[in-house]
Amino acid sequence: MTKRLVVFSIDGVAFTLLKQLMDAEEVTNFRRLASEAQFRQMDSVYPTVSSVAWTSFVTGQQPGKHGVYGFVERRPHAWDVAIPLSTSIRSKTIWEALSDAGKRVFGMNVPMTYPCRSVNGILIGDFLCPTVDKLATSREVCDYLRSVNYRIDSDAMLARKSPDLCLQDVRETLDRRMEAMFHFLAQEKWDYFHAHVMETDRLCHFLLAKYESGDAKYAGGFLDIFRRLDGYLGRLMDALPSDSALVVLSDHGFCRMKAEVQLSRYLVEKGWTSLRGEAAGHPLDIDPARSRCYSLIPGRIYVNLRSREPEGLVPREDYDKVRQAVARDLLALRAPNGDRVIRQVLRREEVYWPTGAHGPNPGMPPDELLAHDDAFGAAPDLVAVPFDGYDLKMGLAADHVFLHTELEGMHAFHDALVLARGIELPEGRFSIVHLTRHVLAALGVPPPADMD
Amino acid sequence: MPRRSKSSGKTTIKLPTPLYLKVSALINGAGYNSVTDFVVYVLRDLVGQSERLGRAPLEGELDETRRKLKNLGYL
Repeated sequence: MTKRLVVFSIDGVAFTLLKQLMDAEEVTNFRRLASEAQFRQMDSVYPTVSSVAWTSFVTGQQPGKHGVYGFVERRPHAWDVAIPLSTSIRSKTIWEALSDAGKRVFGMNVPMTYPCRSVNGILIGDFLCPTVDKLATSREVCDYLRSVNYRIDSDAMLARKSPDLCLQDVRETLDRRMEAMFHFLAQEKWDYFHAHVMETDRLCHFLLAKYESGDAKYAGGFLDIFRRLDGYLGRLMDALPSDSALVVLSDHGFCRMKAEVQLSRYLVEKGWTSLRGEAAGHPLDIDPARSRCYSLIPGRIYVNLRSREPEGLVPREDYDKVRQAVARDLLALRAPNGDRVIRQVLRREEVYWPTGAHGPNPGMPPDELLAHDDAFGAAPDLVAVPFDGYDLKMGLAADHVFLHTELEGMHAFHDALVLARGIELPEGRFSIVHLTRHVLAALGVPPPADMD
Repeated sequence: MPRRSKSSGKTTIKLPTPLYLKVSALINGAGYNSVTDFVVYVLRDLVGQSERLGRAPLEGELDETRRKLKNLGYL
């Protein structure tokens, strides 16, 4: 059993990319850590997006239990979207489990931590927080963050304007965040310390293709951010006491974008969804009387089910028939070059409550669950899983299904990573969901009974 | 004292009639089956938030968050 444990999470860094950089000796501290730790590729979650993946890590649960399925959610009893925050998480987090065990905890910038829940220690919220003065419950912590010009996130609008602005913004945001991280690492008492870097995700979204194609102007800038990150990891390793375990992990990998896919627009074309008017005011601005299905990003499909949805259209007895039919249409989607776009379409019960895992309410028949169980009712009815390169968006009133924007990279399910020193990892292939109980075990704390 | 039913697992509370009528008009067409359903939804949400601490921000406080998500392509 270790006395203290640090998690340093690097959003969206692909196992494959980091391995290449290690082999090329571009990131010598990651390489040093790998020489004394386990370096493994792992799976993410469905849908493969940071809010869902990090909630799965901090709860050690499938989305079917913790209840977070994306960055936007259906607003209950209304045709509109809401933004899930930490208040949407139905389960105990690792910080809370450790606090209950008397451990002192710290968390910074981990997605889905705003507004910060009560723990024995300090939590600093994530990029969904609107302003620095709301990042933590402690006024003192907020004042410190302001004093070092802490940045909540890099600005994606700048990245859309120019790669130069993107690189400069990502670099400065990373530097400010690392300064704060080392401050709290040294100044606070902690048994469990988790600091999160979001900048790697932003970098890959906007510059991955330029790096992979060896762009003369920007590939070097991309690499420079990873060298900078490597320097911070080296400093972190040197600062840790010898009895501390260290876990570096990402929540998903990245691959190059071929096109953004406006899936809501496709459902309109196929007659599953009908717009309320000519232009959509928001992603669920649909006519429920003429819509049998609708979509939320990324690849979540909901049946407009009678008695579950406001003005639900599809009767319960047609639920599976509709799911099968819309799945056929999704699998038939082809890109302009003839590529298949959707690799598979998963039913909610197979992805969120797989065999062997605890269901949301095991004694209740499935059709009753649909209507009465909060967690089950919130889950998408189908999850479309795309082939690498086809990023599933919404685009309800878009002009075209396929779109090209400034985004160059998209999330990849199979290529997350973990580098772990001082803890045991699961045997065989595993997912980010399964790491949490090993982190708790390393600290000698039993996992909550409902952890996967 | 509120009236409790052991068989249904539910407790009856009383609302002032003018308030009941206002709420009834407010939720008309919003998808709720009854005022009771609406009140249960609101109270569950409220209790859930207070139990976890972390005050949920008001809708207007999330404009900047919406902007970020839009720029990232999530909205």
